[in-house]
Amino acid sequence: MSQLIGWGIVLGNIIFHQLAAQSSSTCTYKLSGKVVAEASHQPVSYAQVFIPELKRGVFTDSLGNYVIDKLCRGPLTLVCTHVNFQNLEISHTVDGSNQKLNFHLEKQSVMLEEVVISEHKLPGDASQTKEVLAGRIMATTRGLPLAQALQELPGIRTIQAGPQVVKPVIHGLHSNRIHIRNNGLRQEDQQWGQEHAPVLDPFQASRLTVLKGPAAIRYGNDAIAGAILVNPPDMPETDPFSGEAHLIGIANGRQGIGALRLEGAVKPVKGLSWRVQGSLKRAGDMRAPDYWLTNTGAQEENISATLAYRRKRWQTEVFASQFNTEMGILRAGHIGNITDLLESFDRQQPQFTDNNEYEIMNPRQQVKHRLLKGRINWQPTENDDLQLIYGYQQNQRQEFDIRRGGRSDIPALDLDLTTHTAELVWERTLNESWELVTGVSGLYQENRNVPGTGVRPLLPFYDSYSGGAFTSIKWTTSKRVYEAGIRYDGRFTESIRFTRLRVRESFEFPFHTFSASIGGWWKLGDNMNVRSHLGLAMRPPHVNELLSEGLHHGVARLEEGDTTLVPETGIKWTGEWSIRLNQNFSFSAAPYLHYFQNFIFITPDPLPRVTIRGTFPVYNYTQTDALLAGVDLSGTWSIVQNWELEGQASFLRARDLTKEQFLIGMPADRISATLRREFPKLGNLKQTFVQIRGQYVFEQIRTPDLPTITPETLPEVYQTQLDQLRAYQATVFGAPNAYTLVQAEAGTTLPMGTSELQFTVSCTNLLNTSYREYMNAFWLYADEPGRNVSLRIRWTF
Amino acid sequence: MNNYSFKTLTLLLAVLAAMMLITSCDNDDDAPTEPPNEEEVITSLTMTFSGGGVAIFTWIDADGEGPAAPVITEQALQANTTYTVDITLLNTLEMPAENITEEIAEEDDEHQFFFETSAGLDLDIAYADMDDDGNPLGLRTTFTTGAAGTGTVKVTLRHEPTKGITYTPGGAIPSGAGGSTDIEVTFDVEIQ
Repeated sequence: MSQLIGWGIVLGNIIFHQLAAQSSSTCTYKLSGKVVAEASHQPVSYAQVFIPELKRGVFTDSLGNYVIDKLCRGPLTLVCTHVNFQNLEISHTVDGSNQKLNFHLEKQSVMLEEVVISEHKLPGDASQTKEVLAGRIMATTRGLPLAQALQELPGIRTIQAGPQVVKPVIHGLHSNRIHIRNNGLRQEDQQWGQEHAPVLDPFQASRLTVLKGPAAIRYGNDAIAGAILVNPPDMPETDPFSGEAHLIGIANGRQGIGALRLEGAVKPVKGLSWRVQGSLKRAGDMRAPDYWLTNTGAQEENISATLAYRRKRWQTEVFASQFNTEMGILRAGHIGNITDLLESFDRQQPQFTDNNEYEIMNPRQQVKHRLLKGRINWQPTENDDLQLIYGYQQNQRQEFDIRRGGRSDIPALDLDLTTHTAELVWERTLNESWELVTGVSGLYQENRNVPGTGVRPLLPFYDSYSGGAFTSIKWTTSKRVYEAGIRYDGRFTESIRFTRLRVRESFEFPFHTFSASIGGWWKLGDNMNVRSHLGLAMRPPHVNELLSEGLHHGVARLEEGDTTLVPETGIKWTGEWSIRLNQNFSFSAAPYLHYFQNFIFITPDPLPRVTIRGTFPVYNYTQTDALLAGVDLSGTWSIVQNWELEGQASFLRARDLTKEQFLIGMPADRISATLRREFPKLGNLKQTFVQIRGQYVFEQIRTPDLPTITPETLPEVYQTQLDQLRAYQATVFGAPNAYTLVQAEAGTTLPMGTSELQFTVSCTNLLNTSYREYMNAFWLYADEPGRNVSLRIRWTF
Repeated sequence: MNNYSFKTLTLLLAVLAAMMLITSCDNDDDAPTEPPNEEEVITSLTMTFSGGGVAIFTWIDADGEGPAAPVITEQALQANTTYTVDITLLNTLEMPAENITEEIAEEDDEHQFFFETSAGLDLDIAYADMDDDGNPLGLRTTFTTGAAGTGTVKVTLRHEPTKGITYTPGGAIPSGAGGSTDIEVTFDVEIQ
């Protein structure tokens, strides 16, 4: 079986190195002990205890016990490894008796290391390429929008609508194709919109995990391009009171951010613990090097609370959160028609460059997101874990536009989305190496248009029901993991909309989709790992792709859905090869190939529409076959002690296979290098560092071909506007220039007994470069923000 | 798995199913029955010529931003004549139809019409109204025709332009005018 799976996945010539076991001489001493997880004290089976000097090792049994015999007297090194934990190296001296030595393994939490336990046993977890944002990198990005923080990771980019509205992009794909899991619950927050940033509080998380391959088996078909897991820290087990506080000041935009987390175990009731957490943010208009970016302020108020109770075989948790945000949309991006667009594009500076400080004016968005989650875990036997999660989410989104007739206080779009999700997952450990995960999930969702906007809603009324079932199996040894899974999803959507001429239309869309994945992880020697994962996922078109019709405020264009769209099918292969050449140099290459049949995307209609407002950009949802291919590279070189050079690069090519041209809206290639000096101990201070980074972003020269204009075939109304039409096409199918950015950071930690203070200072866009980023919808209108200095203080207690 | 576990598993599944049922039974009453009113759309622009002669230009786009092509009608103007031209804007997608002209008149300080004539057309245009700050608006203008000929007039309505900007009707919209365009239509003009 494993041979068969292996043959299926290994897409290169991978040679398995078997460590030749060398027989020892006359030595007779025995070393034994137990390997347990640091946090839970659970035994770790199938961990390897290895002695590099002897090139000899053993595995722990199901109770975590190991025995190494035939040892000689003298010093040696013991390396304990397990795919889910950080390696632990211990120097030990065999003293001439049979000794005991226990290992306490910590869960993986470091970037570019092996595997992280992100939630529970996650299908595809071992063979997927993934990135984790934690520790120092997370500290330097605290207070930034979620996606902007993730941008630090290779292969992760953002799509933006101004500086505060930021969405994550994984390998060129975003929105409906990325599953965001907020504290174990699928986030449902009108994520279809390119200017609808995820409404969740990154301060909840101690760690952000990004799965860069399809995670559809576990999460369903919206994880076709990947998933982002926003994981809070584990609930406290014994500590009666602890917490952390953040205070952040960001100069550009005069932003102030504060966050607090308090938690504790309730002593009188064993197993009961609590947590409350909240954050506040005020941001004013930001500034590009030469002018103010009018109306780019934002404010946020977030609060959440968790109550958890664990008994021997039971764990329950209730989590509730509320997220409120109001965000300004860059004033310069508010246009009427193509004439405005071209005028704005030709202008050196936008028309509106006032600084309104903290006042948020129209156009703006106001979003409230409420979430309630209940989770029960039950271990009926040592080898079974059943998890039931129910979630309720309510998302109220109001978008205000600049309107005539005193209507500016009335939202132009007023959506109320309610989602119920339920999920039952059964994890079964069959024996020491086989694990089976099976689950069912259901979702009911209703989207309502709050009446009274005076605008025909872009996204119509709908009710959506979906159900899914999956099963996956995983085979683990210390040197390799194979895994495979399948899933079925059904989705039924009913929708009602009114045409422009006030005719009522009702629709029913039944969709059946299948997903499958197969993958492996191999440890080739002590210093090399290979991962390979092949995932097939189908995603049915979302209601916005089927039925949007009308003006999309905020991006100033007409969007037209297509009711004939069929589910898209994507097959993505992700691989990763990581090697540690010696103590000083490690390198990782993660190539990927993503083939799509019926890829759904939105693209400008070559012909803008002639309306009474003039010619107006029209964007249509359409399907094609597509191929996305790319590679993420990263490497670290310790030049001399405490000096480190780190490099990252991401390349992506995205082709429309039907039209034989490049796809629109794909992130440009980029490379970056960071030079870091660490000061492990500096007086009382620890973890002190200074770093400087340069990043070069290439011009996106791989844009779609300009549609040919044959004047004879055009309707009469276009005849007088041919020049404008050509200029329009060159603009919307174009891309901004390449740019280079420099940034610097410094940080330190001051221990104070049981608490500690962490300080981070950073300066982004150090050289105050004027530049425009292709993935920002407003690149046509204004520059990106200029130099920005920020100070972050974190107090853990 | 023992019997006890199976029972509990079944129970959990039942709870899951029940939750899904409960949550999916409380709707269908709130399906919309009335179409929403499209309050801000402008579907027609009429230019009524009076004074030295009479003529009517209309530009009607009955489906607003929809794909249907607009219907445009013009009438010939007399040479060497001075006309008073009044612009009327309607939204016929709203029930009942709404007169947008009044909205523009009320928010005159946030709006301005611009008139661009094609080269060679002997037509002078002058603003005949202004907002409260004394800046031109353009709901009413004077068209003075010269010699016979043909050409075009482009009528543009900008929302929140830079008001008070130097502009002579007939010429191109100055690049600093700014604002967002609410109307941009072109008429063929024949002067007899």
